[in-house]
Amino acid sequence: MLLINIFGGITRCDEIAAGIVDAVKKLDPSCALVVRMEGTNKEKGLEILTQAADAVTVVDNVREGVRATVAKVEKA
Amino acid sequence: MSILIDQNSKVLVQGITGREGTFHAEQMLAYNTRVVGGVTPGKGGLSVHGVPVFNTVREAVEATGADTTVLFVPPLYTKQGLMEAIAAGVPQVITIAEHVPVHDMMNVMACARGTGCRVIGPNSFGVISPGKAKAGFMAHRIFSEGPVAVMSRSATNCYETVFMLTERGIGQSTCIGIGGDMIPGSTFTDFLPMFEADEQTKVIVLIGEIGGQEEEKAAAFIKAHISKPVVALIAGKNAPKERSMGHAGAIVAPDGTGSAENKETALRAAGVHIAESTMDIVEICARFLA
Repeated sequence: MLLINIFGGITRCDEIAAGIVDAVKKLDPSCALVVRMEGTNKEKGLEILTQAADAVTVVDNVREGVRATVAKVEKA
Repeated sequence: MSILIDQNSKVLVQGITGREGTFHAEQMLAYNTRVVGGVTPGKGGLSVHGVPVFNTVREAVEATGADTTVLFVPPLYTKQGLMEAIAAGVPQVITIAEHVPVHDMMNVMACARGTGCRVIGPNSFGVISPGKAKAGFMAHRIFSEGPVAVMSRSATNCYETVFMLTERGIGQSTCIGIGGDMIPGSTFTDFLPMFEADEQTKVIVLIGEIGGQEEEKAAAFIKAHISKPVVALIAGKNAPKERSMGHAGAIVAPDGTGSAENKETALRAAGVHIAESTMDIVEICARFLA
Protein backbone atom coordinates (compact mmCIF):
# COMPACT_ATOMS: atom_id res chain seq x y z
CA MET A 1 0.00 0.00 0.00
CA LEU A 2 1.47 3.36 -1.02
CA LEU A 3 -0.17 6.76 -0.51
CA ILE A 4 1.35 9.57 -2.57
CA ASN A 5 0.30 13.09 -1.52
CA ILE A 6 1.64 15.94 -3.68
CA PHE A 7 0.75 19.59 -3.22
CA GLY A 8 2.54 21.17 -6.14
CA GLY A 9 4.05 24.63 -5.87
CA ILE A 10 7.37 24.56 -7.67
CA THR A 11 6.81 20.82 -8.00
CA ARG A 12 4.59 20.24 -11.03
CA CYS A 13 1.87 17.60 -10.82
CA ASP A 14 2.32 16.56 -14.48
CA GLU A 15 5.98 15.68 -13.84
CA ILE A 16 5.05 13.65 -10.77
CA ALA A 17 2.28 11.90 -12.73
CA ALA A 18 4.65 11.03 -15.58
CA GLY A 19 7.02 9.53 -13.01
CA ILE A 20 4.24 7.44 -11.45
CA VAL A 21 3.08 6.17 -14.86
CA ASP A 22 6.66 5.33 -15.79
CA ALA A 23 7.23 3.50 -12.50
CA VAL A 24 4.00 1.50 -12.81
CA LYS A 25 4.97 0.42 -16.34
CA LYS A 26 8.54 -0.54 -15.47
CA LEU A 27 8.08 -2.03 -12.01
CA ASP A 28 4.57 -3.46 -12.16
CA PRO A 29 4.22 -2.84 -8.39
CA SER A 30 2.48 -5.42 -6.26
CA CYS A 31 1.19 -2.78 -3.82
CA ALA A 32 -1.90 -0.64 -4.33
CA LEU A 33 -1.32 3.06 -5.10
CA VAL A 34 -3.46 5.94 -3.87
CA VAL A 35 -2.54 9.34 -5.33
CA ARG A 36 -3.70 12.78 -4.30
CA MET A 37 -2.47 15.70 -6.40
CA GLU A 38 -3.25 19.37 -5.99
CA GLY A 39 -1.60 22.61 -7.10
CA THR A 40 0.55 23.48 -10.10
CA ASN A 41 -0.49 21.68 -13.33
CA LYS A 42 -3.00 19.47 -11.49
CA GLU A 43 -5.24 18.97 -14.57
CA LYS A 44 -2.34 17.89 -16.80
CA GLY A 45 -1.20 15.52 -14.05
CA LEU A 46 -4.62 13.91 -13.66
CA GLU A 47 -4.85 13.41 -17.41
CA ILE A 48 -1.47 11.67 -17.49
CA LEU A 49 -2.46 9.46 -14.54
CA THR A 50 -5.36 7.99 -16.54
CA GLN A 51 -2.68 6.01 -18.44
CA ALA A 52 -2.13 4.03 -15.23
CA ALA A 53 -5.82 3.95 -14.23
CA ASP A 54 -5.73 0.21 -13.46
CA ALA A 55 -2.97 0.56 -10.89
CA VAL A 56 -3.76 3.96 -9.33
CA THR A 57 -6.69 5.20 -7.27
CA VAL A 58 -6.93 8.97 -7.59
CA VAL A 59 -8.46 10.94 -4.71
CA ASP A 60 -9.28 14.60 -4.27
CA ASN A 61 -7.95 15.55 -0.82
CA VAL A 62 -6.02 14.26 2.20
CA ARG A 63 -9.08 12.98 4.06
CA GLU A 64 -10.20 10.95 1.04
CA GLY A 65 -6.65 9.72 0.56
CA VAL A 66 -6.45 8.43 4.12
CA ARG A 67 -9.90 6.84 3.87
CA ALA A 68 -9.06 5.08 0.59
CA THR A 69 -5.74 3.88 2.01
CA VAL A 70 -7.28 2.50 5.19
CA ALA A 71 -10.04 0.79 3.19
CA LYS A 72 -7.49 -0.91 0.95
CA VAL A 73 -5.33 -2.02 3.87
CA GLU A 74 -8.34 -3.49 5.68
CA LYS A 75 -9.38 -5.34 2.54
CA ALA A 76 -5.89 -6.81 2.02
CA MET B 1 -4.92 46.16 3.14
CA SER B 2 -2.63 43.09 3.35
CA ILE B 3 1.14 43.45 3.76
CA LEU B 4 4.41 43.23 1.76
CA ILE B 5 2.85 42.94 -1.69
CA ASP B 6 -0.26 44.18 -3.49
CA GLN B 7 -1.54 45.34 -6.88
CA ASN B 8 0.82 48.36 -6.81
CA SER B 9 4.01 46.37 -6.17
CA LYS B 10 6.51 46.40 -9.02
CA VAL B 11 8.17 43.02 -9.20
CA LEU B 12 11.43 41.91 -10.83
CA VAL B 13 12.25 38.28 -11.59
CA GLN B 14 15.95 37.45 -11.34
CA GLY B 15 16.68 34.39 -13.46
CA ILE B 16 13.65 35.08 -15.68
CA THR B 17 15.15 33.28 -18.69
CA GLY B 18 15.57 30.01 -16.77
CA ARG B 19 12.97 27.23 -16.79
CA GLU B 20 11.40 28.08 -13.43
CA GLY B 21 11.81 31.83 -13.84
CA THR B 22 9.99 31.85 -17.18
CA PHE B 23 7.17 29.59 -16.00
CA HIS B 24 6.53 31.42 -12.75
CA ALA B 25 6.87 34.90 -14.28
CA GLU B 26 4.00 33.86 -16.54
CA GLN B 27 2.01 32.58 -13.53
CA MET B 28 2.60 35.85 -11.65
CA LEU B 29 1.42 37.84 -14.68
CA ALA B 30 -1.65 35.59 -14.91
CA TYR B 31 -2.43 36.62 -11.32
CA ASN B 32 -2.30 40.29 -12.42
CA THR B 33 0.99 40.95 -10.62
CA ARG B 34 2.92 43.90 -12.04
CA VAL B 35 6.01 42.02 -13.21
CA VAL B 36 7.97 44.98 -14.59
CA GLY B 37 11.26 43.34 -15.53
CA GLY B 38 13.55 40.35 -15.46
CA VAL B 39 17.29 40.02 -14.94
CA THR B 40 19.69 37.53 -16.50
CA PRO B 41 23.33 38.56 -17.00
CA GLY B 42 24.17 38.52 -20.72
CA LYS B 43 20.55 38.32 -21.85
CA GLY B 44 19.65 42.02 -21.59
CA GLY B 45 17.41 43.19 -24.44
CA LEU B 46 15.39 39.99 -24.64
CA SER B 47 11.78 39.83 -23.62
CA VAL B 48 9.98 37.02 -21.72
CA HIS B 49 6.15 36.99 -21.89
CA GLY B 50 6.38 40.66 -22.83
CA VAL B 51 8.59 41.48 -19.81
CA PRO B 52 11.87 43.25 -20.64
CA VAL B 53 15.07 41.47 -19.58
CA PHE B 54 18.05 43.44 -18.18
CA ASN B 55 21.68 42.46 -17.64
CA THR B 56 21.86 43.79 -14.08
CA VAL B 57 19.47 44.51 -11.22
CA ARG B 58 20.66 48.12 -11.15
CA GLU B 59 19.67 48.69 -14.78
CA ALA B 60 16.33 46.99 -14.17
CA VAL B 61 15.57 49.14 -11.12
CA GLU B 62 16.55 52.35 -12.92
CA ALA B 63 14.32 51.50 -15.87
CA THR B 64 11.30 50.15 -13.98
CA GLY B 65 11.31 51.46 -10.41
CA ALA B 66 10.90 47.89 -9.09
CA ASP B 67 10.37 47.61 -5.32
CA THR B 68 10.43 43.81 -4.98
CA THR B 69 12.59 41.14 -6.61
CA VAL B 70 12.17 37.36 -6.66
CA LEU B 71 15.21 35.16 -7.27
CA PHE B 72 14.67 32.03 -9.37
CA VAL B 73 18.39 31.41 -9.19
CA PRO B 74 20.25 28.18 -8.26
CA PRO B 75 21.54 28.02 -4.65
CA LEU B 76 25.21 28.54 -5.50
CA TYR B 77 24.43 31.76 -7.44
CA THR B 78 21.93 33.05 -4.90
CA LYS B 79 24.51 35.00 -2.87
CA GLN B 80 25.60 36.91 -5.98
CA GLY B 81 22.01 37.63 -6.96
CA LEU B 82 21.07 38.76 -3.45
CA MET B 83 24.14 41.00 -3.13
CA GLU B 84 23.35 42.59 -6.46
CA ALA B 85 19.75 43.27 -5.44
CA ILE B 86 20.81 44.71 -2.07
CA ALA B 87 23.45 46.92 -3.70
CA ALA B 88 20.89 48.15 -6.24
CA GLY B 89 18.70 49.31 -3.35
CA VAL B 90 15.71 46.99 -3.89
CA PRO B 91 13.78 47.26 -0.59
CA GLN B 92 12.36 43.72 -0.65
CA VAL B 93 14.12 40.59 -1.91
CA ILE B 94 12.51 37.14 -2.02
CA THR B 95 14.71 34.11 -2.59
CA ILE B 96 13.36 30.74 -3.69
CA ALA B 97 16.17 28.16 -3.96
CA GLU B 98 16.71 25.66 -1.15
CA HIS B 99 20.15 24.89 0.36
CA VAL B 100 21.87 28.23 -0.06
CA PRO B 101 25.22 27.71 1.75
CA VAL B 102 24.97 28.87 5.37
CA HIS B 103 28.10 31.02 5.04
CA ASP B 104 26.64 32.76 1.99
CA MET B 105 23.52 33.69 3.94
CA MET B 106 25.62 34.95 6.86
CA ASN B 107 27.41 37.31 4.48
CA VAL B 108 24.23 38.38 2.77
CA MET B 109 22.42 39.12 6.02
CA ALA B 110 25.39 41.10 7.34
CA CYS B 111 25.23 43.26 4.20
CA ALA B 112 21.43 43.55 4.20
CA ARG B 113 21.24 44.66 7.83
CA GLY B 114 22.87 48.03 7.22
CA THR B 115 20.70 48.87 4.21
CA GLY B 116 17.22 48.20 5.55
CA CYS B 117 16.62 45.67 2.77
CA ARG B 118 14.10 42.99 3.74
CA VAL B 119 15.28 39.53 2.67
CA ILE B 120 12.63 36.76 2.63
CA GLY B 121 13.88 33.18 2.23
CA PRO B 122 15.93 31.30 1.14
CA ASN B 123 13.79 28.25 0.45
CA SER B 124 10.68 30.45 0.46
CA PHE B 125 7.61 29.89 -1.72
CA GLY B 126 7.32 33.67 -1.81
CA VAL B 127 4.58 36.05 -0.73
CA ILE B 128 0.97 36.30 -1.90
CA SER B 129 -1.76 38.78 -1.02
CA PRO B 130 -4.75 36.90 -2.45
CA GLY B 131 -6.77 38.79 -5.02
CA LYS B 132 -4.00 41.39 -5.38
CA ALA B 133 -0.61 40.00 -6.39
CA LYS B 134 1.95 37.27 -5.79
CA ALA B 135 5.74 37.08 -5.87
CA GLY B 136 6.76 33.44 -5.78
CA PHE B 137 5.74 30.02 -7.03
CA MET B 138 2.63 29.10 -4.98
CA ALA B 139 -0.33 27.66 -6.95
CA HIS B 140 -2.47 30.78 -6.65
CA ARG B 141 -5.89 29.31 -7.41
CA ILE B 142 -6.17 27.73 -3.93
CA PHE B 143 -5.91 31.16 -2.27
CA SER B 144 -8.82 33.50 -1.59
CA GLU B 145 -8.99 37.00 -0.16
CA GLY B 146 -9.96 37.37 3.48
CA PRO B 147 -9.01 37.90 7.13
CA VAL B 148 -6.44 35.17 7.94
CA ALA B 149 -2.70 35.85 7.74
CA VAL B 150 -0.47 32.80 7.26
CA MET B 151 3.29 32.55 7.70
CA SER B 152 4.95 29.19 7.36
CA ARG B 153 8.37 27.57 7.28
CA SER B 154 6.92 24.76 5.16
CA ALA B 155 5.32 25.50 1.79
CA THR B 156 3.21 22.34 1.74
CA ASN B 157 1.81 22.89 5.24
CA CYS B 158 0.85 26.41 4.17
CA TYR B 159 -0.80 25.21 0.94
CA GLU B 160 -2.75 22.50 2.76
CA THR B 161 -3.95 24.99 5.38
CA VAL B 162 -4.90 27.58 2.75
CA PHE B 163 -6.63 24.94 0.62
CA MET B 164 -8.85 23.95 3.55
CA LEU B 165 -9.41 27.56 4.67
CA THR B 166 -10.61 28.43 1.16
CA GLU B 167 -12.79 25.29 1.01
CA ARG B 168 -14.33 26.47 4.27
CA GLY B 169 -14.99 29.93 2.81
CA ILE B 170 -12.27 31.62 4.87
CA GLY B 171 -9.90 33.83 2.88
CA GLN B 172 -6.38 35.08 3.57
CA SER B 173 -4.84 38.55 3.87
CA THR B 174 -1.19 37.76 3.10
CA CYS B 175 0.66 34.42 3.12
CA ILE B 176 4.42 34.35 3.56
CA GLY B 177 6.95 31.57 3.02
CA ILE B 178 9.54 31.97 5.78
CA GLY B 179 11.61 29.14 4.31
CA GLY B 180 13.15 26.03 5.83
CA ASP B 181 16.87 26.70 5.58
CA MET B 182 19.21 27.25 8.56
CA ILE B 183 19.31 31.05 8.24
CA PRO B 184 16.02 32.68 7.29
CA GLY B 185 16.35 36.25 6.03
CA SER B 186 13.18 37.29 7.85
CA THR B 187 11.15 35.40 10.36
CA PHE B 188 7.88 35.32 12.30
CA THR B 189 8.92 38.14 14.61
CA ASP B 190 9.60 40.45 11.66
CA PHE B 191 6.06 40.03 10.29
CA LEU B 192 4.02 39.87 13.51
CA PRO B 193 3.95 43.68 14.03
CA MET B 194 2.92 44.17 10.38
CA PHE B 195 -0.01 41.77 10.74
CA GLU B 196 -0.95 43.38 14.06
CA ALA B 197 -1.16 46.74 12.25
CA ASP B 198 -2.91 45.38 9.15
CA GLU B 199 -6.65 46.14 9.21
CA GLN B 200 -7.55 43.21 6.94
CA THR B 201 -5.90 40.63 9.22
CA LYS B 202 -8.13 39.32 12.03
CA VAL B 203 -6.36 36.05 12.87
CA ILE B 204 -2.66 35.20 12.51
CA VAL B 205 -1.57 31.64 11.68
CA LEU B 206 2.02 30.66 12.42
CA ILE B 207 3.18 27.32 11.01
CA GLY B 208 6.50 26.42 12.55
CA GLU B 209 8.53 23.26 12.80
CA ILE B 210 11.39 21.76 14.77
CA GLY B 211 14.80 23.48 14.77
CA GLY B 212 16.07 26.90 15.74
CA GLN B 213 14.53 29.33 18.19
CA GLU B 214 12.29 31.47 16.01
CA GLU B 215 9.00 30.11 17.40
CA GLU B 216 10.23 30.77 20.96
CA LYS B 217 11.17 34.34 19.99
CA ALA B 218 7.79 34.76 18.33
CA ALA B 219 6.11 33.57 21.55
CA ALA B 220 7.90 36.25 23.60
CA PHE B 221 6.97 38.89 21.03
CA ILE B 222 3.32 37.81 20.89
CA LYS B 223 3.03 37.93 24.67
CA ALA B 224 4.34 41.50 24.77
CA HIS B 225 2.93 43.06 21.60
CA ILE B 226 0.19 41.12 19.79
CA SER B 227 -3.50 41.57 20.57
CA LYS B 228 -4.94 39.57 17.64
CA PRO B 229 -5.54 35.83 18.07
CA VAL B 230 -2.60 33.68 16.98
CA VAL B 231 -2.97 30.02 15.96
CA ALA B 232 0.17 27.87 15.69
CA LEU B 233 1.05 24.44 14.35
CA ILE B 234 4.49 22.97 15.04
CA ALA B 235 5.48 20.18 12.65
CA GLY B 236 7.89 17.40 13.61
CA LYS B 237 6.64 16.17 16.99
CA ASN B 238 7.97 12.66 16.42
CA ALA B 239 11.31 13.66 14.92
CA PRO B 240 14.46 12.07 16.38
CA LYS B 241 17.20 14.35 17.70
CA GLU B 242 20.25 15.36 15.62
CA ARG B 243 18.65 14.52 12.27
CA SER B 244 17.42 17.15 9.83
CA MET B 245 13.89 16.34 8.72
CA GLY B 246 13.19 17.46 5.16
CA HIS B 247 14.42 21.02 5.66
CA ALA B 248 18.05 21.85 6.47
CA GLY B 249 16.88 23.96 9.43
CA ALA B 250 14.47 21.35 10.82
CA ILE B 251 16.75 19.68 13.34
CA VAL B 252 16.52 19.12 17.09
CA ALA B 253 19.82 19.62 18.95
CA PRO B 254 21.23 16.86 21.23
CA ASP B 255 20.12 18.87 24.29
CA GLY B 256 16.57 19.08 22.98
CA THR B 257 16.83 22.70 21.77
CA GLY B 258 14.46 23.22 18.87
CA SER B 259 12.02 20.47 19.87
CA ALA B 260 8.33 20.77 19.09
CA GLU B 261 7.58 20.40 22.80
CA ASN B 262 9.70 23.45 23.76
CA LYS B 263 8.08 25.53 21.05
CA GLU B 264 4.53 24.54 21.94
CA THR B 265 5.18 25.21 25.62
CA ALA B 266 6.54 28.69 24.87
CA LEU B 267 3.68 29.52 22.51
CA ARG B 268 1.00 28.24 24.90
CA ALA B 269 2.45 30.36 27.69
CA ALA B 270 2.07 33.37 25.38
CA GLY B 271 -1.63 32.65 24.88
CA VAL B 272 -1.23 31.16 21.40
CA HIS B 273 -3.75 28.51 20.35
CA ILE B 274 -1.93 25.32 19.43
CA ALA B 275 -3.39 23.30 16.54
CA GLU B 276 -2.76 19.56 16.28
CA SER B 277 -3.09 19.42 12.49
CA THR B 278 -3.69 21.62 9.47
CA MET B 279 -7.41 20.73 9.70
CA ASP B 280 -7.35 21.86 13.31
CA ILE B 281 -5.92 25.27 12.26
CA VAL B 282 -8.97 25.78 10.08
CA GLU B 283 -11.35 24.81 12.90
CA ILE B 284 -9.72 27.22 15.35
CA CYS B 285 -9.70 30.08 12.78
CA ALA B 286 -13.38 29.41 12.03
CA ARG B 287 -14.20 29.74 15.76
CA PHE B 288 -12.42 33.10 16.00
CA LEU B 289 -14.19 34.42 12.91
CA ALA B 290 -17.68 33.15 13.81
